[in-house]
Amino acid sequence: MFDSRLIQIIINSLGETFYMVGASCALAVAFGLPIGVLLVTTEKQGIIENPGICQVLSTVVNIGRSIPFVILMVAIMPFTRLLIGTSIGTGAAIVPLTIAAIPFVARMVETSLREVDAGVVEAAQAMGASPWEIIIKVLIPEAKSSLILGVTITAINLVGYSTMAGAIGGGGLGDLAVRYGYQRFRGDVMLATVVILIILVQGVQMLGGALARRAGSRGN
Amino acid sequence: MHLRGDVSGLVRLESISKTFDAGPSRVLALENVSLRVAPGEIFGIIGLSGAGKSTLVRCINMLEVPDEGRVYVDGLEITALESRELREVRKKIGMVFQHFNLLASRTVLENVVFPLEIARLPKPERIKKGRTLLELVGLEDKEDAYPSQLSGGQKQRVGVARALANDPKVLLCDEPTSSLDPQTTRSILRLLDRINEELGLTIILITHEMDAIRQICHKVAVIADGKVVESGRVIDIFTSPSHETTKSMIRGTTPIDAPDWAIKILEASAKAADRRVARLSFVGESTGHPVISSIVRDFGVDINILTAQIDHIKSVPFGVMLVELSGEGDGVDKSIGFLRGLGVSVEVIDDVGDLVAKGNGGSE
Repeated sequence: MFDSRLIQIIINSLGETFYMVGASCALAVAFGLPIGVLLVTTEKQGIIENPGICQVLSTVVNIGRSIPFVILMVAIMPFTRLLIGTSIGTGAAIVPLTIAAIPFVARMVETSLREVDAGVVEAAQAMGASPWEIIIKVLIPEAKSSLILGVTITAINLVGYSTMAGAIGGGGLGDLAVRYGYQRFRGDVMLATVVILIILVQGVQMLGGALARRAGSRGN
Repeated sequence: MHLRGDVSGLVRLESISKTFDAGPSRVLALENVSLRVAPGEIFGIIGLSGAGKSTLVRCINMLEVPDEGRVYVDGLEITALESRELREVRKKIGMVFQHFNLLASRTVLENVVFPLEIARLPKPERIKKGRTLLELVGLEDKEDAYPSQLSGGQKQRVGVARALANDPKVLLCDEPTSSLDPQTTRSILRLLDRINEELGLTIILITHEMDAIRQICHKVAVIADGKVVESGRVIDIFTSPSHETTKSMIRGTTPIDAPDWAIKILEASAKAADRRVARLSFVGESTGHPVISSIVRDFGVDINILTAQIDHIKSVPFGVMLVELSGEGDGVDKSIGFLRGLGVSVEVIDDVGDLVAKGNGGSE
């Protein structure tokens, strides 16, 4: 029922999805992780207590999380154009995807780091560890398993968001489903993309789960 | 209140006060606490939960910053340091925690060498030192295990090894045995005692268990409601506690108070001219002398033993005995003099009521 041309289109779309999700997830972690760390460490009683910074960051993160993705995508078009020269295409879709995911990652990281036993942080302080050493050698390694699960959830959310990127010509599986499946009444294409998305999400979840288990195994 | 002797002090606390915010009210955790810990001794700090003893020990490495007062470690005023200097000093103050506080993501050896990593010791030296320490605490075969695979006692051994990694000047132990069973508690206490003897390391031990103090401490300070209510040599505190808190914690370990039935007998005899009620405390050598039979034979005194117990503090035997002495003429007074001459501490009790609530609220 699918000719080779259509199969090629599906493969290209899958590649675009991978590209958008992979790049935006990596960038979101790169920016979201430090923000999450700051949210935990600057709060009251934190290792680099600074309630001012904590409050500002928290507010910015909350604002970021309250804007619906579709609106964000359109609203930041000028910024996207400034950044990569165009506001249309797969590359351009990475910008709003990343920006939408950063506050999400920040909160995920915050939650994970809060699970680290305060006593362990205290032990490190008692040994004379600096705040930076505590972050690098205690907080992040101790929360590793939980952090990996957080990244997994982020990646899966981004798969969902990326399907909306078709609206700005981002391509990907979501765009394919809309253009072929919906607009050209190709129910089979629609079904195929949905199945691929399900497999993709399953795969990401299994991979993340396995990595998290390995990080958290600790010989059990 | 300062301890007798030892003017120098490896660790010195001067008039430490600390208040915590607890919702709308403020809780005074420590009030004008002063202590001196001499080099090489095991100094116990005991108190009921909430007495402020943990806050006190955490003030020594500034995990808790005192509102007032000064802390000196090895002559250096800790309370005057900037954060960078404080971090350097902390490397020389080992700390052992009640809940071990090991890093779950690291193996036993990696946990032990963690302080050395912070101190930026090269890796080969770290590993070498770490293995020596694991040998010291008897866990050389567990270096690749993770904390989750260890028993509580083993975890605490790792905690002790880790605390010793930077060759600290003093080891702070915050309730190190409070989450362990009695048998493991003894083995950890023995380990601390051995470290104190072999390395000459000064240890400050926080506990609520009088038994821990009795087994390994040289000196003890009793904390109640944020204040030091009594302090001194463990043997003195045990044989003649003066504060209610101390007494309540020693009770069960040593007979200080007379049982109810004895009080009734004693009330009558204390009034009689030829009778005395006395508390005899034997420490060390005098425990070995057959003093009771000597008195009976030489002074013609009758002795009624009401309660008695012989025990050990560290390896020194000590005994406490509550007796009623009766005899003709000055036999009773002579025998008391004889006992004192042998180094037995004799406390004649004039008011039997004292046996029930002696030294209520007083400090020393």
